[in-house]
Amino acid sequence: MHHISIRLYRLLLQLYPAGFRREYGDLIEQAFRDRLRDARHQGIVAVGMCWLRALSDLIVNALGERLTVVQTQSFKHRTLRGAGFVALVLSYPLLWYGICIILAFYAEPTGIGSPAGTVQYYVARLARISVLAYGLPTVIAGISLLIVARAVVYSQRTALLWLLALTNTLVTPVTILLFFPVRELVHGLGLVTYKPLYYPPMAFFIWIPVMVAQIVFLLWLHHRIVRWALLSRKKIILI
Amino acid sequence: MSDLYLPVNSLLPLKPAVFHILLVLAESEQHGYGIMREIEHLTGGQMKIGPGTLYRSIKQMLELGLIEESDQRPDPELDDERRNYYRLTDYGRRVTQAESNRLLLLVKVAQRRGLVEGS
Repeated sequence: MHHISIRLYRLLLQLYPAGFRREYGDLIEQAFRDRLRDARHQGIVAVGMCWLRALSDLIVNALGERLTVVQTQSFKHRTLRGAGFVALVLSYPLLWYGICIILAFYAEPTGIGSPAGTVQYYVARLARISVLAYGLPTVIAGISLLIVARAVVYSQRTALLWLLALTNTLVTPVTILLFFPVRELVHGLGLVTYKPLYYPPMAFFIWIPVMVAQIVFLLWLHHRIVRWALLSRKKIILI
Repeated sequence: MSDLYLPVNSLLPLKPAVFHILLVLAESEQHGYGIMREIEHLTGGQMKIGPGTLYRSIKQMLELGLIEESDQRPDPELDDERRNYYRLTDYGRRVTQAESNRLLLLVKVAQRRGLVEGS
């Protein structure tokens, strides 16, 4: 029973801001542990009162400390963090734009021919794939925002926000630019036999969910990587 | 902890929890739970502070330079290494004195107006 009480209290300590919890979480838990131990010697009523006081103390102070954190953050820090958050959110649609372009070209004929013709082909096709390149990222951006919000909750780190935003922004053009020559090379070597695809209605309904599933998987993978990176640097007990 | 201290009077009046902690530490170095118990003892059980209130107050007091962490273990046989001990700084003692004098002045006013029992 004592261990369950301690575990439950430890879980409730998550209500405090991460910084305060890292610094004082163990000490607060130790003080509660001592108080509970003394209360147990006085009987069940004392244990109940101990818990009541601990809960009111925890709720009031956790809220108060969270308010303090918001109030004491410097203007520069808040601005940088806010801008980093916006940059990160904006970078996600860009990332999915790149992914959708690649997925769209995956089902298209290659621009086999002269180098100038190939470039012309890709430029012309890029201008035409509006549904796949713009429609899906809009849907996916909603999912991305949820994931970004979670990542931000995990971390108060402004630098990490900017790093993720920069990575997303750089990955997009680099991936697209690398994809085109690799695709041409693979087709040129005969590793892939291209057959023109004409979408009958049923195939369209199958193809779209498959693409969405691919993107959701990528989002999930990205989320796991972010989470792993954060958790490996600081110990957080996630509820 | 900053070397720049705020003027003593700018900190007054102190929050009750802060003043009680300072009073306890004016006597001897204590760890967190020791402070909680001592406050209860000093006030005859009228004042009980929880762990959250205690460590939020301690955090503020450390930042203000009223108290500091102590490396010494006054009672090594009874203590474990994880406990942090705290002690009053000279600045903290001056602030405690100022707050005590402020309260004494108020008590004297209350006494003159017959508001204190036995006066």
